[in-house]
Amino acid sequence: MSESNIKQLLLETTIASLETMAFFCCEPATDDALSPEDAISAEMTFNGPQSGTVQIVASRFFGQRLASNALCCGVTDPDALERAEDSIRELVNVVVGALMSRIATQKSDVFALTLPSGRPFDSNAEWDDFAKDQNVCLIDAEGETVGLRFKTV
Amino acid sequence: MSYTFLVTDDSSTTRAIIKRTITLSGVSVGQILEASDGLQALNKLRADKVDLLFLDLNMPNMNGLELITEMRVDSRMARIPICVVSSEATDSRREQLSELGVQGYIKKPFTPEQIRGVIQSVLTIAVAA
Repeated sequence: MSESNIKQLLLETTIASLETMAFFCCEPATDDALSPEDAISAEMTFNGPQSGTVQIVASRFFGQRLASNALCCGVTDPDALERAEDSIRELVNVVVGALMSRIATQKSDVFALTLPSGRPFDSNAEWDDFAKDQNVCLIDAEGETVGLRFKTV
Repeated sequence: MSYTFLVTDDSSTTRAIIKRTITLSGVSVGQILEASDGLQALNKLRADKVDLLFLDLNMPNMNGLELITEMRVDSRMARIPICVVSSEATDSRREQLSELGVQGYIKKPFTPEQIRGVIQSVLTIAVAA
């Protein structure tokens, strides 16, 4: 499968995952979408018949909203605050799982997964290069910009 | 009769969602234990009587498949019902889990109804047995 096909699948699976996980209404965003503030980058690599790394970049506040929607608590509730990064890591985990199911062509296809990892993402220094990458697509999740990247490894 | 659940997942968000769903499921809940990897879960399974294990696959230290393998060879844990809750849902993985005798398989992202369905079906079978 080509990288551009996987990029499209990544967009579709992320939008579907956000709707199921946390009731977010999402749509593709334009390239000039605002960069996320106080951002977190989460990524996960899979190896198998097709191998690659999926990276998701979003604001910490988006992570809080993910957690608060999933846990039915307020966005500033301590449960949501402490789970902002964990929620974005879990999103990348869910998205990679959904992507593998779409990429697998044989019943016997087996993939090895890394653990999802997270780190602070410097919106000022890193966003412009990230957003310009041809493998990146952007989502508007109810006003929050979420960046997605697939890289073949 | 009240039931003890063990929720094992390295994501604290997912553990909290499953715990909340169990609490609201209508079954009588004694305890809901938590573990963030297979090794922690194994220690809790050795220390406590667990009626249903919710288990992620991709975790640090000891993954879900390693834990299931450990449980199946230990007579004290071999019969504990397991519901895997994982983002991995390829046919080969489902087959492997079926061969290991896993009772439930829920793909992430999941709905509370799926968790409730497994609780009711697995615990009904356990009580009948």
